[in-house]
Amino acid sequence: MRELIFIIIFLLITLCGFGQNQYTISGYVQDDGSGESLIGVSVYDKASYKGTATNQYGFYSLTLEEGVYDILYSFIGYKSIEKNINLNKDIRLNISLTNESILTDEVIISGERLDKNVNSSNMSQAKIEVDNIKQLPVILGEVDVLKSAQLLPGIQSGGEGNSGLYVRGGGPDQNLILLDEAVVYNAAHLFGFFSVFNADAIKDINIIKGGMPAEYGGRLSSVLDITMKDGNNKKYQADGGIGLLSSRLTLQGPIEKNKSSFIVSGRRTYVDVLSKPFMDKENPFSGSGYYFYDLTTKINYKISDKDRLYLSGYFGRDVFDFSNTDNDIGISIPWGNATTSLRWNHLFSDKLFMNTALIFTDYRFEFNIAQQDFELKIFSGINDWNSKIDFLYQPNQRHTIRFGTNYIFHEFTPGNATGRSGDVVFEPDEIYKQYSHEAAAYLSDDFDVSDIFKIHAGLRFSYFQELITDSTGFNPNVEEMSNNWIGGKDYFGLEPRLTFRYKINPTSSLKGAYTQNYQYIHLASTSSVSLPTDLWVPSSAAIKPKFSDQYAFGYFKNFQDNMYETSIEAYYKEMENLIEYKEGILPEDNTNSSSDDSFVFGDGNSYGIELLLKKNKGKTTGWLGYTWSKTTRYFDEINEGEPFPAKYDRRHDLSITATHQLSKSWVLSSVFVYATGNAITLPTERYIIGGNIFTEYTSRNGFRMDPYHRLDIGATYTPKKKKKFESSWNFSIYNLYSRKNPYFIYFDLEAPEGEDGSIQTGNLTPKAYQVSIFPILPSITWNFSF
Amino acid sequence: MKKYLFILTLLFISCQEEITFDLPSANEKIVVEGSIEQGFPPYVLLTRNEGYFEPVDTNTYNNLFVKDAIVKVWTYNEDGTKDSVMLEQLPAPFDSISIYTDINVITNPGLEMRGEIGKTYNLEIQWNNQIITSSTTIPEPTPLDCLWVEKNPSADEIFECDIRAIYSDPADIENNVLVRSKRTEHWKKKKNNNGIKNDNDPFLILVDAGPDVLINGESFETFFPKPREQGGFPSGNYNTDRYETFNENGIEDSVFLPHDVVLIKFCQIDKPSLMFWRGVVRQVTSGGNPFAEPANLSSNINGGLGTWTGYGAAYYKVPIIEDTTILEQYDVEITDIF
Repeated sequence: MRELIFIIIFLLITLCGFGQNQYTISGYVQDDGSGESLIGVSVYDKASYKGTATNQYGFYSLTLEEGVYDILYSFIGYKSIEKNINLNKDIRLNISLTNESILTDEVIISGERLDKNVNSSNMSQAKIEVDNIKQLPVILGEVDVLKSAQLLPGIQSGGEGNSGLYVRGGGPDQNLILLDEAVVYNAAHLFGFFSVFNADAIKDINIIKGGMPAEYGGRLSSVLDITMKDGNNKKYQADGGIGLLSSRLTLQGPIEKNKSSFIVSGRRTYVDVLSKPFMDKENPFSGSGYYFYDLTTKINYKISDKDRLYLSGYFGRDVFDFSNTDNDIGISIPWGNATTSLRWNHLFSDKLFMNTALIFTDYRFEFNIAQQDFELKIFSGINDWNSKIDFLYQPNQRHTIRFGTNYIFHEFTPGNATGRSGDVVFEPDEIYKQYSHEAAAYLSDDFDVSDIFKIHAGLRFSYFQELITDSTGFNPNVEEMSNNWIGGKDYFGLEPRLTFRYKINPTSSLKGAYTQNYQYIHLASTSSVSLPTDLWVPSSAAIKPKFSDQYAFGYFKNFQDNMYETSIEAYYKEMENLIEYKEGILPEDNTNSSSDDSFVFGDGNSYGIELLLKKNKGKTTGWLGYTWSKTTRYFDEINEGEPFPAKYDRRHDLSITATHQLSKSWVLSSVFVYATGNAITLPTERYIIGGNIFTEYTSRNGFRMDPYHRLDIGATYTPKKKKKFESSWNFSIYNLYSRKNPYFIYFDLEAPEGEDGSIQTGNLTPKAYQVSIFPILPSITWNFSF
Repeated sequence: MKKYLFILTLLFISCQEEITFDLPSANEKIVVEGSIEQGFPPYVLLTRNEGYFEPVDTNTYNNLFVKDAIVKVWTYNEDGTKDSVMLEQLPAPFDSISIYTDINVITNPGLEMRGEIGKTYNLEIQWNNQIITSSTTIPEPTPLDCLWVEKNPSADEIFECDIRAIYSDPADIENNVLVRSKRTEHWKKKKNNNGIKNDNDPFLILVDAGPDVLINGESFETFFPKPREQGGFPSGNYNTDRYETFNENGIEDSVFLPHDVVLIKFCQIDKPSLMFWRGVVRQVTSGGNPFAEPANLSSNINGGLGTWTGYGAAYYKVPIIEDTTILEQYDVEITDIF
């Protein structure tokens, strides 16, 4: 640790070594047509390749020595702009880039500075282009950012229909999913079949699966940083789509031209509406149904050249109703997320950018069951009040310094129940809640030590404290017994984050990373898929924070003038204090109380090699990603203390995507995936209690399902634009060769047809069944824009 | 499972196919289904487990029973003395299944060990060179305030009734309720207009088990649904007196069927026992949720499977006659407690 602090101090000292006649060119880069700020635009001196990139708000700052420069602004899908600048004073220059598809009516031949992956010190990061994934074939026409992320090496899906991300051996709770900086706790609709993000409202998706920079924290494995569109500040625009499963509509436009804009985007499924007329009223299950919807809104306001305000919100709900009139049972399960972020960007100077944010996040789940005059309601949730300040300081072209602080107040509702029987209402005296403080401060520097050696050094200090009720419960101020919250057990951690890049030549580099992460809140799951019933629980005296150490090493090489981008990365990750439910514990055991005693703790590790081959230019683009990995868990109290594979341990994971521009109006695409079968636990023994047969599971995750593989194809047809109206048709065929991929497996003791079987009569046959969903599924979606 | 398949079909297209698995052979374990309650001797049924894919034929059932075990139960008295008894298998005609008990209950009635409220009973089984142990406590029973019979408002037939009750949960004690019931009388028409027969339940059936987390200290009205044959929810109703009409050989006729008589066993059990029985209710009710993390029944038997449960029991005999109210507990015979 001492060495690390020394390095940071050294870096800060070196900052002072510059400053002879240096000037700064800075400003915002936006889309010419919509005024939408552009993230990750390369801004660099054409001669020396010295440069920077725009940040999440489209701001850049580049400090160079006095002189004349050809500064190039380039971004994928946009026509590059070159500015000849005589840099003899600080210059503010806002740039508008033009989307190439507008210019040529053809798909982009990228102008981005494509050797970014070789040059930057980032490793294990990926950017997903929303326009790109919109052309890939998708199930039931639903464009899904999380499913697309699963196609990258090192990121695994949990199986059919599961939008959970499993990054380098980490569980789904180890991903920090941010939507305009607000944490999204459950990113899944429909029990994981779809993600909560509506691609129409999304501008940028950045995925960090290793080498996590110091500004991010609170999770062990990854960051999925999603930025919403700001809204067109030049003209009104409507986009939408009508698909088999859902329809979408997005409206955006200026509030005050070039100054402020809004965007509203909504989506709703209508399976319930469509299926209702076909469901007989006599059917005992009539009244059962399912739907989800979400609404994304954002407004932004340019107060001045130095100040911008953003207010964004997300609201989504899933509602699942089940009723069975045969036995009078009615069940209703609504759940969903809501987030609000208010952010203020301020430029203190050309070199110092600040972002301040106030963020509110809410996730809640409810389960209501009623039978005759009995009612039971189980509910849980989590609320966060979050504030943060981030600074970006670019004193010269060699340093990009980030520092900031973050404070979150968590309110957990970990599992409460109320009930009613006739007129008698069962309610706890008080809804059981847990509160905690989480805070962090960080400092990092992207430092070009020399032309060939670059490092990113960061340090994050994190702090967590649970709040407990004063043991006396006596509040002297009001002289009565009350819940008096005082600070309980606290934890703090120092999290060094280091990555380096060593450039072998202009087209290849070596990179390495070492990161430590702490995670103070945990997802407790009794299920093999991400279910809304999963509970978030805070660290406490009994539950220690999770901790991980990760090492990664990679080689990056581009070929044929950056037409091909390749990389190979190896990683090793150790995790401590992972949690699982104790055997025999059910989530409702902690109804209206703390779940501290419900868990067992263990460690885990994961290692693997990830290959990426990407073709960026030409009529055919796409990538091939392959991962070989092994993930193991070690728990003293699970599997009789023997190591066992994690649920998402997967030896081989391959994905290939390809997009081909056939003509001006036709784009073809395809996706192929292959993955080792999921690890599962099977009942190996059976026995009898009270005449009923029960099973005993012995080897945790000791068996494998069949491998998963699938080929999807798609085509997008875009007829010639008519005046202002533009539309396109997306045709997809999911699972082209109708592979029966295992969704789950169940065992059954079957009696002969028409007979009641029992162990006593001896007429049972043990059988195992594999259930598959999603055979070949064609779909069609019509998208429009005007 | 059907329920889940239904939900899946409701949402998606699904299909299933039979597959085969090569499972390792099972480690032989003893399965204990033992109980002791106030006023009665301990009973222990011993069986063994099997590999999941071992075939089930006519011999399977008989081979399950463990008849060569040495079974001992002991408890400590307040004065520190120890009462211990070796259990023996019930003789013929009860010997087709291997029930072990204090045989004095048959040979020297009155001298057998009987369960007492508040005491902890230890169980030790020697079998196959293994020593299998457990212990359980008989909690204080919590009687119901009263029970009565009421027509089920949403049932299709007017003779379908519920047993309702008022229960006052003792405050400040964490207790765990387990309910069993059986129809000691349940009349049905015989075939061919040949009179009626009593198609009663042979054993008490598990209705539900749960902690008092939500109901602690409350006094409230509840109801005891008729459990399914294998136990648990969803439930059915009980029947009052009624006529069943039928048409045989073109002649319309009807037969009088007397009301059901139901025995309710309302128990308190200790926490480890609850963990086991709640798992049983959950599994027979849900039929195995395919997404649930695999969960074994939580056994309190060290070195084996199953349960050793102490019951603090209260019994009620309820004739299903509308507006009947029961205030008194029923004095059970030994044959009633199973």
